[in-house]
Amino acid sequence: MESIGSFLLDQVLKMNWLSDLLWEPVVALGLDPSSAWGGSVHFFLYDTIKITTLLCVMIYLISYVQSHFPPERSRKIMGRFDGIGGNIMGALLGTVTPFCSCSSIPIFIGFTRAGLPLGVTFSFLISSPMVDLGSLVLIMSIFGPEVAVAYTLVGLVIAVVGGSIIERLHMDDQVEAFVRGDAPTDAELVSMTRTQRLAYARDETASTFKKVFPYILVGVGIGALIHNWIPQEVIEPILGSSNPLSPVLATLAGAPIYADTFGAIPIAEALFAKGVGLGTILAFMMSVTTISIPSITMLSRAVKPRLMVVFIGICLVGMTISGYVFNALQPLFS
Amino acid sequence: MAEKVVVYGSGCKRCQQLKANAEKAVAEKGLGVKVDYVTDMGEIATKGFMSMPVLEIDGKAVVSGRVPDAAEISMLL
Repeated sequence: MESIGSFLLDQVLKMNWLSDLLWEPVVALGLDPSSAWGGSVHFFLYDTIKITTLLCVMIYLISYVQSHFPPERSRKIMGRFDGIGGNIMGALLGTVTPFCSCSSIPIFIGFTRAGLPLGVTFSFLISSPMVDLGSLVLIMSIFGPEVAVAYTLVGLVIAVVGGSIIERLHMDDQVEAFVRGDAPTDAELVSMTRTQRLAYARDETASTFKKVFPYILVGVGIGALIHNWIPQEVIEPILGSSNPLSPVLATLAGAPIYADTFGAIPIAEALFAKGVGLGTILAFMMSVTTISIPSITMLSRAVKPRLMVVFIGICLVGMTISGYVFNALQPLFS
Repeated sequence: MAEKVVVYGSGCKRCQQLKANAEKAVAEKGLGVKVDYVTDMGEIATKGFMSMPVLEIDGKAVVSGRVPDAAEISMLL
């Protein structure tokens, strides 16, 4: 069993065979594999191919699963739970409900008008971009299953706790007037046939690929730069364990950046190889995926500034804390 | 035969693609109806739509959260 598990992890998810194979074009180009140029070219080819392949396979599978969980349905499920149960369901359903920034406002309004507590809606809104099956598999392919599971659990905890805090603060007056209003006429769910689900999964894969591929290239490019050109002595004092503020820096640096896990992971991978702590890296990835200037701009159309500040603050503090916790726990993961 | 075709969306790429596909389907069938495009969040919310974009034909939502091609819309019309 164990050998099957490690085969799946090393050869299927991590694609070690591909890594071995790709030294050949590097050598064929006349580059020394141990030189910075050779290493950069190899890192770039290997990560681009690996991440793109995982992206396409995962988005296809995920989209198929997600087609069973339209937000209308998730809303009904969440509505059946009270108190913290609602927050937990919100965080869990956030991971499987299809979510693009163009749907965030309609979802926010739909949930609110249906009478879902504000805290439950925010649990959903926090977990939705941060945790999904794609990031779970991707993190597993680079950092191993323990780290991937830990990342997912931490993301869910931040979503549940964050939503609960927002609930306790009674900020229901902090949403724009148009968000309130009549409860929606229970819109008839347009269900899909199997063929339509497969077509949906195919289209999602194609459009996600088109959207994300440039980010992957940029991410892998930065990763290759860090991996082979920036010496450890430069990175260590800023993001390494010698700087007690490194999780704070990583969280703040990631916040304005708009990318998803697929663009962030090559940078995380390269930083990890340079001795940056696991927690610092997880904090950076969460921050990149969850908060960004476009997503904040979008949400601020429906949410008043005070709630916006609370939302961003909770996310930043939650990510920073988990950064410290994981840095402290890192010996357990190696 | 469809008399009223409406696309709901928030102005994103996918929504515009759905509108373009719907217009193509309408033109191919020679229906001569205009495809309306609603981006007002209040109106969308009142309808209870959450997965963008939505295609509504004669007051009934037939597609939500995905972008079918013109051929499929043609069948729905």
